[in-house]
Amino acid sequence: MMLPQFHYHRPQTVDHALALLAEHGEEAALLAGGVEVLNGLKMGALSYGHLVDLKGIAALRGIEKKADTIVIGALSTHRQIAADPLIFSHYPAYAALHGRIGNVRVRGAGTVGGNLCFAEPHAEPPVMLSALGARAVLDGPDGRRALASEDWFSRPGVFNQGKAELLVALELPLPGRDFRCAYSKFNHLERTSASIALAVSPDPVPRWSIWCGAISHRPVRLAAIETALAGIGPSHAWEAASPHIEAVTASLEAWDDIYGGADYKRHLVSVMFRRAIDALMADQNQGKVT
Amino acid sequence: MSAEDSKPMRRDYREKLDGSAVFVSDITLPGMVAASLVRSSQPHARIVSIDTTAALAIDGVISIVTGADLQIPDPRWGVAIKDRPLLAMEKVRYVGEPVAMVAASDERTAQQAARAVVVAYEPLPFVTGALEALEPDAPLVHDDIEPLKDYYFKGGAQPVESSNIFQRYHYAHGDMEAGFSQADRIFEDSFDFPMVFHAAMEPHCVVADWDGTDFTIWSCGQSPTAVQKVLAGIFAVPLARIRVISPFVGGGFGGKASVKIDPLAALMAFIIRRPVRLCLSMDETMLTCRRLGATVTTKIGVRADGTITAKKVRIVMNGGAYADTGPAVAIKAANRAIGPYKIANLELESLAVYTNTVPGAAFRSIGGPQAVWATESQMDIAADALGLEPGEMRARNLLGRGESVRPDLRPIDVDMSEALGLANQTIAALQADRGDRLHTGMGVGISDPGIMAVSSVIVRVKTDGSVLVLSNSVEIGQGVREVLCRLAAEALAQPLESVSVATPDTALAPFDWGTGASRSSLMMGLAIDAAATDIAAQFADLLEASGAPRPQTLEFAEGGMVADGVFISFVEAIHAAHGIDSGEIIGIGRITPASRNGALRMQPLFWETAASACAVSVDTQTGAINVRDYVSVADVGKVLNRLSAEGQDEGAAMHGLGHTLGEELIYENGRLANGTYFDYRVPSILDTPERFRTILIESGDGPGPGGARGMGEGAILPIAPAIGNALAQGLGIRIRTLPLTPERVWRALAEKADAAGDPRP
Repeated sequence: MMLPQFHYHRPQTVDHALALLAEHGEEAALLAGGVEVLNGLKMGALSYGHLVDLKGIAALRGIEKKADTIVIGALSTHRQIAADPLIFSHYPAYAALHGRIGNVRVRGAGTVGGNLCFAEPHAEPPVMLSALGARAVLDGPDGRRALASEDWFSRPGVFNQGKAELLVALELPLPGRDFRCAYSKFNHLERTSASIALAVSPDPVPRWSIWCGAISHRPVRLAAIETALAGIGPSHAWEAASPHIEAVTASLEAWDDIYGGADYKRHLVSVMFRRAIDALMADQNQGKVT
Repeated sequence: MSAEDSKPMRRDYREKLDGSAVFVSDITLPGMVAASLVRSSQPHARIVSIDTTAALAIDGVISIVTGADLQIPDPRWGVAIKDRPLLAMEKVRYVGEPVAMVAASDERTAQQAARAVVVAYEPLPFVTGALEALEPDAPLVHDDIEPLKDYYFKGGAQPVESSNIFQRYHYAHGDMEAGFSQADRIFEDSFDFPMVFHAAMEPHCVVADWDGTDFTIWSCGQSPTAVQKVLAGIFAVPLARIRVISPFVGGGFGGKASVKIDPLAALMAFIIRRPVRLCLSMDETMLTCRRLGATVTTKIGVRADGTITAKKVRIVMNGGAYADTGPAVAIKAANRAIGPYKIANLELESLAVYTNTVPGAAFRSIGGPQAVWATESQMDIAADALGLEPGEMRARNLLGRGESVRPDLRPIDVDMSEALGLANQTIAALQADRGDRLHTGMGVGISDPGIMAVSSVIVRVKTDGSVLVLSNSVEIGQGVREVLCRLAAEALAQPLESVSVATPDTALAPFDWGTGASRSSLMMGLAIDAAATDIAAQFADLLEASGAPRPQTLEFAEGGMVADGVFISFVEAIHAAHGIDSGEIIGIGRITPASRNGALRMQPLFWETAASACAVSVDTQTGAINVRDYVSVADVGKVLNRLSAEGQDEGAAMHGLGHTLGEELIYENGRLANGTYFDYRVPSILDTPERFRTILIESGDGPGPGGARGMGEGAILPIAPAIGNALAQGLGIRIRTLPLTPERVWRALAEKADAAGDPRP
């Protein structure tokens, strides 16, 4: 099917984009890579009178180190993130995740900001970003604010930006020495059935960040496992976590859908958790700051 | 030259690679407009009103037609049962059914207007499952249908009145009671096969033109003459005034067989008298047709040594909202459930049932994979229970060459035990160099292609020795154009480069039943042989007419012929007879059931068969199956183009990998829940086995040219049971429902562990 008619805007600045959003309200949608919005419009699932194309805004591009954070511009494509030296050296598993998303066309066009804002429950970047402690930077009429990943998706299919706000960047804390991360997922269809992202900072004692994704409308922190693993390194992590994993996954909210029944997905979470730990172990150099 | 080279190229590859190959969607005509369909949002509902006011007001909209204002001779059509309105009339029967059609200056405007059409519905109770549709209180999908006899297939549908059953087929031989009483064990098992999508690369597309007296249709259909026939009925236009042209088609697999969307574009062209292009999206193609899902219950009586004493099969197929070719699918499913086995006492019952879902249709080996999934799974169940090796269980029952599957059908014409033996030996050899131990399984399948022996071809020999083949066999990617060139080159002993095949066009090429049922190379090959004989006779006439004695022997040679030992070029022969060096010889090859002394009358013309073996590994924690090695064996009689033949065999098996591992159209609340490629995943190159071996046996005794049989559909038959059997053999789990999704495999493993008191995987 073809795109229906709409008014096309191509602002050059964030302020202009915000003004257009304020002017057109519910009638306007933001257009980044177009992977989701354009397909939705073609299929008739979405309908907007105005599209505000962000691709002309240079300030939304680029990946750079700023003090103790890495800032990823919202318009960074999957391909750019996968190939970015900063990301690759600090968060190789996160780079790899973007390198495998969708297909080559999706990776070339799709952006991390668009992916987050579309809030597709099976999307892959949000769970890893959560594990890495990323914060979303929003700009709006009342200025900038940062949103922790716990607050990204409070309702299904909705990213928590204000009506007149714009996601401009993601901020990732610069990892310390010997930081490691891993990501493991399972899918038999195009979209993911269940995934695990984990990160461990060894200094001064191992501290874990463990999130599961795709089984309900948002990534969820496995806090009980993080606690159980506090002070324990990757080589003993499975041993320490396995007594708790069944109880933890049993309490997870999971949806029945074509990607799997809820109990199957909970089971997959524990399998993926084990595999993510194995992935951490498999490459001792993975995630090392160089 | 030989019709077979080791790995010959196909000349259509270059056109397809450089983009010059013409498909229907490339056709543009002066004044052409775009059509778009308004589709039902309801599974079953009365149409209360259709408001086109807002849509008509859109700039560029030319016309909107609904089922309520069809001013044509006969708005209902079908190929086995007349049950289908061109556009929904009074009520809708599935989500996605065409309700109205818009014509506009361009496609975007047409689609925008289609969205602006407002349809009010009064919902009716609906039914999407075939077994539910058989319940006495199930809503009736149709209350007024008209079966057609000998219209597209020989015979007709047998609907059951006041029910949703649009086809009931029954067959029996022997004495069932006696047969089962001779058995030591009786096995009764039920198996489910999902509705699946054909997934051809090209969605349906048609361009139609009506000039007030004649139709010209550029069709992606596999059966141009069926399109002619249906349009003739709808519009009361003579067949001779309906011209169907078939450019390259981007895959059919039965989804473009018989007639699909051509009547819709023709309708709009008829109304507005302008060329109309209707090009569906892939999502719309998923709402156009699909394979019939099935529940197959099979009961066998077996002696302790594995001999089958009786077999009773009951098949219930989900036929969707309109019968389409479903009545034939139901018959073939029944026959294909027998297997290549000696069954002295046999009873088959097959039902095809209306439901409020996308119409079921022919799909690569119609009814075959559904039936073979059940039959071949059950063979392993019985073998396991009797303590026999699966190969041994089959060997006890396999028909020998020349023995009858059914007394009224042609005896089986291939050696199935040779094919199965080759498959098993090859898979075993492939395992020898593997470090890890894989799970292996096997399966066999046979099918009786429903080939109507009605095909003609025209072969024109020009003075310069070039040859033009005019045929209505459609190039659907299978390589038929190349095969026709090779067969004509061989029959006339001319170099391959001198032969060309014209784009199929019913105004130029003679009648052919259609491109399907593995028939084209075979039927057109026979027709080309007949045309070559005709051409030889005409040259003999020419030589005689020019004053020479009629030659006693005449054989073709490059550029001409050798008559009584003397070479004469084509132009010399024509010049001598015509007095000028111009003219041509027009050879006609006709195949009818009476051809070849009636040898083509007996059904089936040949048996299309497959034996397969696989080696799989399973991730027991996720349930994901990885098919590592696969062997596919078929006796195709004679390979005409090895590259294409192997490609067809591999393609059929990999097509079947889809319904085996993941493909399934899922209905929720009357709607297709996964009707896009986002959620409906077909296998990609990454899913193919690490090693795939195709073994084509050339016994040279088929009915086609050089002893060829038809091929291209067999290998889709046994893949699902072979993989299911590998799971049973290796992991002790028997899954009776396709597809074998990771979740189903994991659940089966978990159940098995629970039953044994073991920890779950």
